[in-house]
Amino acid sequence: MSGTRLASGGVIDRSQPLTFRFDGRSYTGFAGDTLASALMASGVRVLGRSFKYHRPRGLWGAWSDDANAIMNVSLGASELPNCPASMTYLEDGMTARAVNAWPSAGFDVKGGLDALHRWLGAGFYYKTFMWPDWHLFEPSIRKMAGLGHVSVNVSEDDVAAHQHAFCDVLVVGGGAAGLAAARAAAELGHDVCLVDDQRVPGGGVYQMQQVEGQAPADWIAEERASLEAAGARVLSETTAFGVYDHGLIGLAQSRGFGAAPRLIRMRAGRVILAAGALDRPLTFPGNDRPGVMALNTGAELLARYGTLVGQTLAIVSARGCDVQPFEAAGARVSRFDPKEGQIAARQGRHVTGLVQGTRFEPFDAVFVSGGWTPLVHLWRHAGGKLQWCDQRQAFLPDGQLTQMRAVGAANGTFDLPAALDEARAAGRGDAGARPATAYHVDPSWPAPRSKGRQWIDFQHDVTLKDVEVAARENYVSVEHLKRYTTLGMASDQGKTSNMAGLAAMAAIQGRPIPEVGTTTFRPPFVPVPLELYRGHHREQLWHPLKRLPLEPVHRDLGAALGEYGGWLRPGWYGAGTPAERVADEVRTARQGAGLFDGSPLGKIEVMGPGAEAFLNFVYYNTMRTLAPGRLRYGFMLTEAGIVFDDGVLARLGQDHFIVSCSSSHVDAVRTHLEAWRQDGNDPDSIFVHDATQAWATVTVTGPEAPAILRAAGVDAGDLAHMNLHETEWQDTPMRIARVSFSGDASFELSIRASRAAALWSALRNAGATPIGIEAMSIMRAEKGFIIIGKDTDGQTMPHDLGFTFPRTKKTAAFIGDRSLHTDVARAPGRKQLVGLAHGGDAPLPTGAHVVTDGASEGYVTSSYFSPTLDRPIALALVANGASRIGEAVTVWHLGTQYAATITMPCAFDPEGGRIHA
Amino acid sequence: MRDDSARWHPPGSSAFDAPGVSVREVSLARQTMVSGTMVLSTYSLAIGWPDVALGEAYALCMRRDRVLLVNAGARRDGFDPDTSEAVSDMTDGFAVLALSGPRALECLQAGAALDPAQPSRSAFRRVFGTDVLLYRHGDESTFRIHVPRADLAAFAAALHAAAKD
Repeated sequence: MSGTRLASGGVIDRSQPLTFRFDGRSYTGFAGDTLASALMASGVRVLGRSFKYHRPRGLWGAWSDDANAIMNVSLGASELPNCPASMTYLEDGMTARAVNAWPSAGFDVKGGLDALHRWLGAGFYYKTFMWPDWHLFEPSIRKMAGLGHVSVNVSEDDVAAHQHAFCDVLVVGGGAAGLAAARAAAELGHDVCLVDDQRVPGGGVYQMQQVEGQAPADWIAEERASLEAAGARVLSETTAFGVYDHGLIGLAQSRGFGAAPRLIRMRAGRVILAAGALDRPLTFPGNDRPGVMALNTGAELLARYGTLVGQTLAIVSARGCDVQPFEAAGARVSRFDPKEGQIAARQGRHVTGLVQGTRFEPFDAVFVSGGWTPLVHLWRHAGGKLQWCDQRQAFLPDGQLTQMRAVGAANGTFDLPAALDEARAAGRGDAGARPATAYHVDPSWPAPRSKGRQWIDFQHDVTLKDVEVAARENYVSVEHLKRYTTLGMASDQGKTSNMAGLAAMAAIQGRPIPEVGTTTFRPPFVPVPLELYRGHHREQLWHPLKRLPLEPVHRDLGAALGEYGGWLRPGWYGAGTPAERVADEVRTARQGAGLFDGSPLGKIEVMGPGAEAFLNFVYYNTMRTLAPGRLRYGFMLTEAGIVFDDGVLARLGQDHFIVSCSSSHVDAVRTHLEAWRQDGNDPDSIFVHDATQAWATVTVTGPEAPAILRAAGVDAGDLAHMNLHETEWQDTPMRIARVSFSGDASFELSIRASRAAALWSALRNAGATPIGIEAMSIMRAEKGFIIIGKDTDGQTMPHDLGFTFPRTKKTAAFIGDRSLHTDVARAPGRKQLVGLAHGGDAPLPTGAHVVTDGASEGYVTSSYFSPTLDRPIALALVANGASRIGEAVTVWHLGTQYAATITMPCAFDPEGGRIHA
Repeated sequence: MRDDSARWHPPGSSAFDAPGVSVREVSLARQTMVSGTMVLSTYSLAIGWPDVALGEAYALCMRRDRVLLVNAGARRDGFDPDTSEAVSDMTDGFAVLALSGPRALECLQAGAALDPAQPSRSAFRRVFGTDVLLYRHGDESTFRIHVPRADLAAFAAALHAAAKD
């Protein structure tokens, strides 16, 4: 195989020579070349190495059907791993290196592994590395696995663009059928989008002598000009890689080498699948040698890239072939008929000739085809079924899909005139059955128990013998065959290997091919970079946090901001060690007045004549008796009786309530309320408004809080604990709730978000000291107040937290009621909330287990050093904890044991005197 | 305990100009959320997608029993038994952005499947993962977006990133 670039022909631009390097050597190609075509034109025979045996690999396919020439490619600062050379357009200055080979594909030091092939068959490492322990071998095997290497030069600026798009008709494939279908649809006035994965649409048309009386290039140009004149969009270098739910088509549009592609989420009224077909390999000894390639590849290299890959060519085809273009280019062509007996490649490092019986001829290259295999991947993604066609020896789209129709070679219509008629009918939206065809293929499938090493999967070195081994070991399902042998995995994804593999399994078992079936077709159709899916979903936009209206104020105060329940909130303020700062804030709040930004607290308004009964149903606690102007603490439960949220319900008027739920739970509670409002309640008399973000909430807590409020001009009157007062502050509506999460006298002041900064400033000037959420967390733990999801888990019921009254006394129905009386709810040994005291100076580790005889009886949920009490405190969920107050227990964490005593949850001011002060 | 202040950029102005698109912050005097079984009859001209709102006072359809009144007269929060409507002042609940320019729709389509050919009675949309109210204002190439205030920084950043693509 010498590789000859012809003086004319193809769609390359010979006026633009491009230089590049492959495995350390310089070569030249032209604009419009792929890396593979340029290397073939330069006479390079070995473009890669197989995965397991490191056998030399040449080009099999000219486009997406090649899994042999996989390369790490760099250009400028960009380096990308695992680029298919057949799909990577050449650019000046490119440097490529074959993956899985060192120092080069031509000479690979691991090539000697092939000599061990008798011991490395399918499943060898499943069996070999069992003893003494798989994990001893795993690191080195993992190191050998994989193909290309990711560059250490990460390009953070390489960001995929994302776009949603629409069209009436999406045509996938820019070959003859695709162009004809798109034009027909566009000329009827439809909004048409045609996508083609090559830079120059036309598919295999360039291989033809004439199309409808025109030269191929002229016909393509006319079709394209006509459909664009009719308003159609043509997206070249764009691959339809998957069909997803609700008819979403994933399109990956190239933006040039080194630039992350664009992901287009296309929604089309209907899809015309004109993806074409691939040549499938024939299975014979030496069929993997460089120089043995798809017949279509030889034709495509000649037609698109003006490259004749050899002067002496053998064609072994089950589908016929027009040899005229090869002969016209100067090649000597010999045909071999696979029906006339087993053929074998004469081989060295590359194919040198072909043997069939007593016939031997030397060749530069061997073009083979076992027949066309329609590209039905997207059809299967969309849920379409396949039917086996004996005449074509191929799986074809079966039946109809509402949204998608296959035409042309993708539908098994391999005759050009029939394909054009079928495509135009589809473009017009006319119904039509698959046209009859004269195309016929005699079966040429793998012959089990035949001699020689015959490759089924070129990339993974799966041979016919491996399939036989799998069958003997009862991996006879094609899905099991795939996993056991790795057939059809990696970038091939079965495009070239699956048909031969399942046909081999069918032959081994004596079953018809359609009975064996195919593996599952899954997106993406071709490898796409992970960046395609990421786009701008990164850094702050990966998991964006909600932002406080007072964030600029907090930053000015030197707040340490962090995520707390989906919000960016101040953990503490000022310089110094965090522990010292937090402790200072706790002491300040306990002795004077702390100023806390509680804006994320839920402010969900429930209104309407049905609101009272609804909330009484939603809450575990009785809420219908709550008087206007009053607050009541309560739980919401799931239907399973599990504590879903806790918080305070405020009643502003007869038909007006505010659900002040947990800060991190607002979205969930709003959804919970909406769901129950519409299910079993009268939605016309209950209205739920989430006004959380309209109001900012600033909490003043501590013994000096009432005085601070007066000094700041806040009219709280003589508001008692668990009461609400609506007033105005500086002509702005304000709601004052006297409710405490700290155990001290506390006032939650809610005001329009835009006025929060002014209120905060006034309260600071009046003497309140900012405290962060870390300090508040300690203060609430000192009081034994829980945080849902931290001090509760997915099994915690209200009686586990000491709230038993509604369970036994509430007569009205409420969510979770029935579940509180199940065997599980009454079971002995339920984990109950308690406190833990221990003698050490350091807090117990959160998550540490309370153990008895080595078995866990519960765990620490919250643990801090209490600045107020000057000792560690902890909350825990412990089996039967409420009846074990005073019991000494052992706490275990990562091999360390601690002695502790079970206490009541509340460690500070158990009488509650401070809260009413 | 971890100080992540530096990992999160301080929120700044959401206004920016990029090729083919201009974004500005809009200050509205009042936004009032009103729910009731008859609100879509009462506010029959409530704007949906891709309707064009004209003037500075109008109603946006949020769902079949809810509208957002823009620049309407002041109403007391709570349930109004005379009209059987629930009322909440949401003036500070939504930040409002205006997008204009030939690429305005394209930028929005980076974050949502928005098809002007597929109308919706509601202006409610999820764009860049954020639940917003989206409609056209004044003309067919200018969009207004009501973004929950706490989500504005992320929304504006996503919009800005899309505009640069």
